[in-house]
Amino acid sequence: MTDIGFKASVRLQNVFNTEDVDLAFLTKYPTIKVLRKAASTVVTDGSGNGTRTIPHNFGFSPSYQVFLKGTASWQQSLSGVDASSYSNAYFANPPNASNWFSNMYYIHPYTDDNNFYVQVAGGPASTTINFVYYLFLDLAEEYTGAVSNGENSVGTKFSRATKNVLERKPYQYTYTSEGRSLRFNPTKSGDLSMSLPELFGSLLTDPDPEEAVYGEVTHGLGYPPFYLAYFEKASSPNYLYETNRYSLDDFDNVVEIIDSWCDATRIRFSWWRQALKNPAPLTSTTWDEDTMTIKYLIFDEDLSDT
Amino acid sequence: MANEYDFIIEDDDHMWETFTSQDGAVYIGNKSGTGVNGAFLFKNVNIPQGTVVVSADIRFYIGSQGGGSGSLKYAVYGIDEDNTATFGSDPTGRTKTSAVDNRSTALTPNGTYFGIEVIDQMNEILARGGWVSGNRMGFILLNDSSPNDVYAFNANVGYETNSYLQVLTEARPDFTPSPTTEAAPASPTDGQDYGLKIAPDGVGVLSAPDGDLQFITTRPTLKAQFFGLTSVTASVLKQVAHTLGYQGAFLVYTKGNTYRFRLPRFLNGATDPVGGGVQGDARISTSNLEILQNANGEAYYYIFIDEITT
Repeated sequence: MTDIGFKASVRLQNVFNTEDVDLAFLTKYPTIKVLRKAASTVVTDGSGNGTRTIPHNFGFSPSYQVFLKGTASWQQSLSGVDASSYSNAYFANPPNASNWFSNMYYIHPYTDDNNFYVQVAGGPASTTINFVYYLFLDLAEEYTGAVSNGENSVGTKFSRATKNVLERKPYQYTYTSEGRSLRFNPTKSGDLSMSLPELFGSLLTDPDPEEAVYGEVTHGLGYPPFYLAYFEKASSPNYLYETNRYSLDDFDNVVEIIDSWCDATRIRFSWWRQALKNPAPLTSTTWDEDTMTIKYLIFDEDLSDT
Repeated sequence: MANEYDFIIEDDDHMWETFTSQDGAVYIGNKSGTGVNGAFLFKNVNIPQGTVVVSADIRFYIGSQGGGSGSLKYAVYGIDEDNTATFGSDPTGRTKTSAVDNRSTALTPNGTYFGIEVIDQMNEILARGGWVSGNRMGFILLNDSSPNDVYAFNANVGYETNSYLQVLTEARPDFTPSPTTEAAPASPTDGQDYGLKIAPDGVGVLSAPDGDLQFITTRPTLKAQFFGLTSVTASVLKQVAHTLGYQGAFLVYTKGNTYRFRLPRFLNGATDPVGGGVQGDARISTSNLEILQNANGEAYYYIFIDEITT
């Protein structure tokens, strides 16, 4: 079937013979569309609970992304990694573990058909938690109904194949200028590798040793950028996971944390492991030498510009 | 030849707001729980009686706005009078045009404009037998259940930029030339604008930095080739096949109770206030997106054709 629709290539690309994956945009594949980007806070009460409710009134649950804002400093007991603190740092995807922020299992972003929420349950009392959020004009659920927060017939719209552009369902558009396209910088994006040696505990020396390594990208943008980062370990090839995440041992102890954060200078990735030796039964976590490749995309979005 | 006019708010008594009930500014929306209305008056509207305008927009300059969330909702009317008086008192009760538009507008940042189309309202006033070129023309904005603390504000005093009325009285002629054949131009040098750009309302497409534009083709967008809903069984690895042959970027959202949560989601024993404790992770190989979570449910996923490599 002959190609149809609109295609746009980046500079010096021939739009006719460039592969789809290398084009800037084509109506064949929907783009992620930023409808709203803003900074907000959750203020917790004396019990460490609080909720920020942000109406969107779409009638469907939109996809979203959240970055917590705070000061990054090394949290693990392992010393000698980095003694510095980094203010105005941004951390993605709570609830989760972190090597640089206090572990954020108590922070819950979520959406429903009318609101976006960031809720804190059992967190630090009487504390203001800062975050930046993105709401996208793209579904986080199966939905085919009308959009309930009003229609916008102004601007440029590209519908998906077989969809009527006049139906005014923004989530059916490949792109609509109601939203800002989420675009990445291929020059700034890339990958880096980190390695950790073998690690095991010993009752004679240290039953619960730790090891850690970090790497960073000096992005040169002068602002903290929206980014997505994924990692692949040599020990489990062919699988990419998104940062940030952790691993548990058989006793539900956190024994590995892979995380990242960014500020106006860098995106830092870190990898921490612990070998826990449990006295009864005499089992322990041990770690083989391993290498990790981090792959990241940096977007033209300034997290501090809200 | 197309006729194009701009009419600018000039004097304090050509703006009205009902929050403090005085001239010199316009509020529209909901200010801290109180609905607020406004009105604009343009003088010396030099358009002959009986003219049918093809384009008319009030360009509302956002000097400040509320901190609430959601779209501004309002109704816009014309003041149905031949030569409406200046705003020494609240004009929002004056006779209104039958032409009315109900709007829902997502406000752009302070210092930008948003447009309020008033074609029908203006044409109704211009059609009045008593209308004379050079008269004063007014418009009323009434709040229509805007969310709490969602409002826009423009004042005539203390701001360098005013709202204004922009009118086009004739359609532009089509000067599209006949097709010709030309040699391909030389590659653009650095610093020259190229590609397709789309600016939001009120932003100059040629002057705004790329980060303020809604769409540009000088940077690639994330392109979703595979997306949709899949069911997930607790502790069973769900595989969603793709045909990329490499590992594309991905996003996954899972359902917990009536809410949607971004994956990965790890609680490590912490209380989940709303999601029923759903936790999960996702990974991608060269042939499958794989989702694993601790509860039955469903996940909405995006797999992008954009490969994450150098």
